[in-house]
Amino acid sequence: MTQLHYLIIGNGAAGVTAAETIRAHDLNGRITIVTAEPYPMYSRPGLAYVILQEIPPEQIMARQPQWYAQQRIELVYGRATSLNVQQQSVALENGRILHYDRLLIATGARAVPPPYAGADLDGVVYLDTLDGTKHLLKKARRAKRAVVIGGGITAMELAEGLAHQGVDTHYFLRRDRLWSQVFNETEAALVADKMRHHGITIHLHTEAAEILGDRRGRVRGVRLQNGDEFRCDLVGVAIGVRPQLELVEATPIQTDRAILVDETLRSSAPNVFAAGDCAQVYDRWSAKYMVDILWPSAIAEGRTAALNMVGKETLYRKGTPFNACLLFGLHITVIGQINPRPDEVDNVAVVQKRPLSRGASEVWFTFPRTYQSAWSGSGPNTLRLVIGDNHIVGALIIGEQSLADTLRDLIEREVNATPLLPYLQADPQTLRQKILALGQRQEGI
Amino acid sequence: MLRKVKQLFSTPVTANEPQKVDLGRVTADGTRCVQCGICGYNCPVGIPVRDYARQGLPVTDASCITCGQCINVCPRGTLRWEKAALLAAPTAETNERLTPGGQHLISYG
Ligand SMILES: Cc1cc2nc3c(=O)[nH]c(=O)nc-3n(C[C@H](O)[C@H](O)[C@H](O)COP(=O)(O)OP(=O)(O)OC[C@H]3O[C@@H](n4cnc5c(N)ncnc54)[C@H](O)[C@@H]3O)c2cc1C
Ligand code: SF4
Ligand code: SF4
Repeated sequence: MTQLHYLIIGNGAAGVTAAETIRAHDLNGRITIVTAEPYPMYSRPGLAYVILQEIPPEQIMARQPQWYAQQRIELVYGRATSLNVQQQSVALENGRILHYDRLLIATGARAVPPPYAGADLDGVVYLDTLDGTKHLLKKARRAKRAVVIGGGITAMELAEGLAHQGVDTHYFLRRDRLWSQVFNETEAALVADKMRHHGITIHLHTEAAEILGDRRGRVRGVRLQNGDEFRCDLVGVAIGVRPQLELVEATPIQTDRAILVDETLRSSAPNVFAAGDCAQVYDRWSAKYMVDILWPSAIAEGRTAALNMVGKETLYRKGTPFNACLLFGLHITVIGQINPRPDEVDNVAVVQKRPLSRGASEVWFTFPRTYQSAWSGSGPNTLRLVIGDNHIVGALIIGEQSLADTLRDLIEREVNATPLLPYLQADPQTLRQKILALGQRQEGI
Repeated sequence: MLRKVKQLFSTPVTANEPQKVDLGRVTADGTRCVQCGICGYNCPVGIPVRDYARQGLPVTDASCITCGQCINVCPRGTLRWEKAALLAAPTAETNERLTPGGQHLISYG
């Protein structure tokens, strides 16, 4: 039997899951992973817990070097700089050429710098890579005052982390509330309240226009759009991410916002696959190709790509985008389509012009054709459901999480929610009972 | 500090103290796990909980003292108790049966 060479560019969730899956199905093949970062696989979402000092940086390694040896996976440290799809080869920065029979591009996405002057000053930090996070920690130790810009989960995690490090943290928001693409007013107010309890000052309708530096190239403040200057010595940037596409730029491989792949995760070039944050994959709800910047999506895509690479034809069924996170002591779960503004019907067009934030899916911002919603809130616990075409298409849960698994399942399987419709405006307890009952009825079938 | 906030918060979610029921063992919803390692880092006997969790497997390490620490510290709600005798039962149901009153025994601490 001829030995196939599987080459994987990227040592993140997608790349490593793919390598593991390939090994499980092809004991004989040669597997190589190339990574631009000097570490074995680590947990990227775990970086948020590193700045919160929940865990030291060396403990977020999700695989040890021995694991690669046991799986007979060669881990090559170096940056891939070019791809030749005719010759089926990839060149590394150090000149080494690697030929492949099957190639997986799993290069992920990187944080975008602020689109104004001052982005290269010393003191502009990101929560993006392990090296970047170590740098951030070092800077935070001496910083007195930080400004955080950006709207999503990472921005809030960054603010939480900096405040936890004892830095006087100021969070700038362009609009009138936190994470306005996802939260409604009550949800935003609830989280904002927790944020203030953690010592963070929130500035609404505030947008930076420039980061100002001193003579030695260090951050000394931010100039606002209204002309005011705001003094600070650290600027945390989390305005979004952009898929890393450098490797495919000079190739015929088709891209849009990321590498376009069909349901087998194949790109337009033979034997070239893509998965994770750098892939734009078919979505069954919207019938569009969508980018997810989500850990579970990267894992699922890596697995499906691997199955197809070893010759087990498998179609990727894009799951319901799901994120469960912990912010300021609040548990927040976001599932499916939960755009809070029904007036912005097809928000995708707007969203696609902006870089997507970490831990987010473009699906979240889309809107179902028909719309009903349920809302229940008491204390720090809220539940919002979005119902379209007789099934629940989205849910946002803050606080008490016991409905999370049931709702995720109902959404994922597009269960007919007609029995629930009369209770959408009922009191929280009744609504809760009805949701659980709907879930149980399904289990029984 | 954060740990304290989290534990305070997790109280209403974990309506029943895990220690009060017949524990069984720790199991995982692998799709929730982000492989951060906080579970194993806090395990008093040094079990690599993450390696089980990411694969959605129960912790079968014989040295587990069923202290529940890993469940309490996981930021993603990945881990929960599972009664070994009810292995085949669906998870939601298992939780219902484990915890009288219908409160799910999922700790999001
Ligand atoms: C702070 C933070 C919080 C997050 N929170 C959440 C969350 O709550 N929920 C959630 O679902 N997701 C979250 N995410 C997003 C999640 O981490 C990503 O979706 C996931 O890691 C994507 O995996 P990936 O394998 O596609 O890419 P990555 O993990 O980015 O891996 C890319 C790999 O490719 C390598 N690489 C890139 N270019 C090259 C090259 N040219 N040559 C060689 N190697 C290269 C890199 O070194 C790296 O190893 C968060 C991310 C961050 C940073
Ligand atoms: S703490 Fe939770 S999310 Fe982190 S590795 Fe353990 S089980 Fe997974
Ligand atoms: S229950 Fe306690 S001993 Fe067992 S794996 Fe979890 S933390 Fe370790």
